[in-house]
Amino acid sequence: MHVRLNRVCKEFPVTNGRFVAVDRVSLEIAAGERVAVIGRNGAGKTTLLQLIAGLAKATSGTVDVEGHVNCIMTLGVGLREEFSGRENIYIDGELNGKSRRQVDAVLKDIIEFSELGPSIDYPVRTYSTGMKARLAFAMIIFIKPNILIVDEALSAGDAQFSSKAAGKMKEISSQGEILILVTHAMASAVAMCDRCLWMEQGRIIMDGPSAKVTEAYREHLREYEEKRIRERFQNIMRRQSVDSRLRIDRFELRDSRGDSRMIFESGEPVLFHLCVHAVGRIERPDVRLSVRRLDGITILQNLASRDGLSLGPMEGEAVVEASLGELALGEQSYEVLAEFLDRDRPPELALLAAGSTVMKVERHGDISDRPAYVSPILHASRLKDLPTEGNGIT
Amino acid sequence: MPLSADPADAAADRADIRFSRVHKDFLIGQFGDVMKNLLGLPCDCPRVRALSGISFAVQPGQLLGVLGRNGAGKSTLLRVAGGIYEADGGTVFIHGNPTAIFEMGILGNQHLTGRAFSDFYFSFRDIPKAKRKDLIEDVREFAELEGYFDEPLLTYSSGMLARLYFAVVTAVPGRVVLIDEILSVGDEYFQGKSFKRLVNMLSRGSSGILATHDWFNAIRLCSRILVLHEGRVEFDGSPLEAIRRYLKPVIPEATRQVFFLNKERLASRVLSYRCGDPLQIRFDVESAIEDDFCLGVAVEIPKLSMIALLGNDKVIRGGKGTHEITVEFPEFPVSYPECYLSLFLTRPRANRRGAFEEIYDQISWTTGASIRMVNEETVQFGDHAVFHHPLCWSVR
Repeated sequence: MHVRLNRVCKEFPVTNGRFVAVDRVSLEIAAGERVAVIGRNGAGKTTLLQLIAGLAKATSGTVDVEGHVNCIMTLGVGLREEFSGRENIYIDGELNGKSRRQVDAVLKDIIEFSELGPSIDYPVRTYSTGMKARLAFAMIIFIKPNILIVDEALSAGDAQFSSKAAGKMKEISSQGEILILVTHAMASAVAMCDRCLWMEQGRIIMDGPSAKVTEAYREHLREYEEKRIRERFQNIMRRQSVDSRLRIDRFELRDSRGDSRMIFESGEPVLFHLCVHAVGRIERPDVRLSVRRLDGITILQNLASRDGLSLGPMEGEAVVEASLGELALGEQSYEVLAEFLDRDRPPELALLAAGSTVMKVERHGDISDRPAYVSPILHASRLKDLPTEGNGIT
Repeated sequence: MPLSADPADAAADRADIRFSRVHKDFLIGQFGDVMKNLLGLPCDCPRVRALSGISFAVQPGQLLGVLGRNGAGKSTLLRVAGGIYEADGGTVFIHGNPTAIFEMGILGNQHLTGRAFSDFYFSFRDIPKAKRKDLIEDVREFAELEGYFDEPLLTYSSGMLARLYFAVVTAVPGRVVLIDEILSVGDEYFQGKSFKRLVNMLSRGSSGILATHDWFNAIRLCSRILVLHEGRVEFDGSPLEAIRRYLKPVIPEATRQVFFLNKERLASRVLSYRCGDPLQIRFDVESAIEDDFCLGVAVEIPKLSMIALLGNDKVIRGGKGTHEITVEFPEFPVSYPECYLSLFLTRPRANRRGAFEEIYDQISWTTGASIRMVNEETVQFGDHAVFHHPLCWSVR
């Protein structure tokens, strides 16, 4: 059992010329492999799977597939709307060359796994998207394909069904079958598959262990998103000298590796990095950092001198850094403002230069509501179960 | 206007907006009934009472929040105030010509460009030509329509129309503004910008009414909130109490499976804190079931519609009996003068049957039984941020 693709191209004619959906892809998948395919919409993922499944014919190159392929492509396709769920199971079994007896043997398991209950005898057109997904998935999984291709089918079921489906898919591939999963959810790519292909413009641009590939892809998406934020928030992101003695050359947020970023996950380490240039000598400078919500409310504000750092006389280039530690802000966009002050002047005249940037915080884990400040680590508590034994909060 | 014994008239001489026992009915009969009604002929066709005996007054500089679910009469109230509908009973007084910021967007000539529409609106508001140029520039910049500003309105999406309309009417706010759900226009950035513009407008002395079902916005902007229910005023007063009334129907009843012991006493406490100091709170929870349960701890600052999560879903090993629970904050992070501590007992995430949190019991300012916390130190909000989080600085 294997999948072998050698310099496979798939082109579609368009009004002016041809659109290359899959561009010279060579690929080999061996028995027992679980492969995730990721990439943006239009990257050619679905076309690639259609080629493997035999639903599309390659324009050039060779496709060599050994084994019985079964696929759950776009949801609900393959289900016959006017027939009941039960009838669909028999039809599908027949199409896959199973006898009635063979289908009868797994019928109960399919119905049970799909959690459809009495709805199994209603026409499929009365089903919700999630119900259709569950039925399609259950049907395919019990017909025992050699090569199973799943395209985003998991997203329609609820969280509980997804985890059940994931378990079943693992079970199948451990029996030596091949699993190919197309997904937008990085978490399921990592959880389900050992190997991951990243497609971009019809080509496989990265092929390797899931954790590594998804991380690279995530990084790529982040850069794209940051470009968008930079355009959107250009009115906020600026640097300004109030006093010609000092200018801010750079103000950015950095991650644990020292790379400049704008998007962080709640709980990640964040460093504020400032490069300044003092033209004259400033005897007693100070820095104030503020994090504001977009409606103008200041969430955090720190003054270097109050936090125990006295900046010495400043002349020429200097780098000031402040570590926020683990990011305690909730999912939202924030304006981050850095101000350089002269402590030898009255407060209203103290401002030398200001710079601002934007930080977008994405959620980490399952946090409901919209907290502005998240600080799970500050929580230490214990429980004494009075009548019986001691107990603790985990 | 003649003074009456209505309580809303107490400050009538100064009020910018005043409703006295206002009624509004809508006919739901046939066309013939409508004609009869228009001609003043006797007609007993069915009516639905959209507003019933509404009385309130809004003082200068005050923004009155009107909260209510769909169909409670919020929009009707605003439209009566704006003179779009005429009241069927009672009296309505509005100081001057109100600025209506309604979601419905723009009526009128769809062939005007954004720029021409702005000019038309400002001329309609009697703004001299010399001033209009700057205002139009302000609208162009605020509405973020880019090239579309010089294209006809009929090419705009509904979001673009709403942004243009918001920018235009807020450029020259009148003394009285009537706002209907406008804060839902645009993305996160635009909403933040709009919010600041509204705050700015109010600080310059505008008064008005904000009708919304999003209490997050109402509480940030309004010093007083009126809760409408089926066309009647259910409550009129402090924002916190108003939101409690408003949320009451959707807050789940406490179960007797896992619950706080001596809840009333626990909730009536006022805790004092110092930002950065350790803080400890101890309470008892009674469990009638063997299952594990979860404790959630949050600090809320309703006035800023801000929540701080200090611990989410701490799983507590179950067992029937009384659990004594101690919650410790090594460094209490809030520097705002006042906040509320909320405690939730829920079914653990893994055991939940649906996507919703299944709450056994809660202590939260939204339920009335709340733990109020007061900062021991006198801090002036504005000099300080809401939270304090120590930073580790370095210089090279």
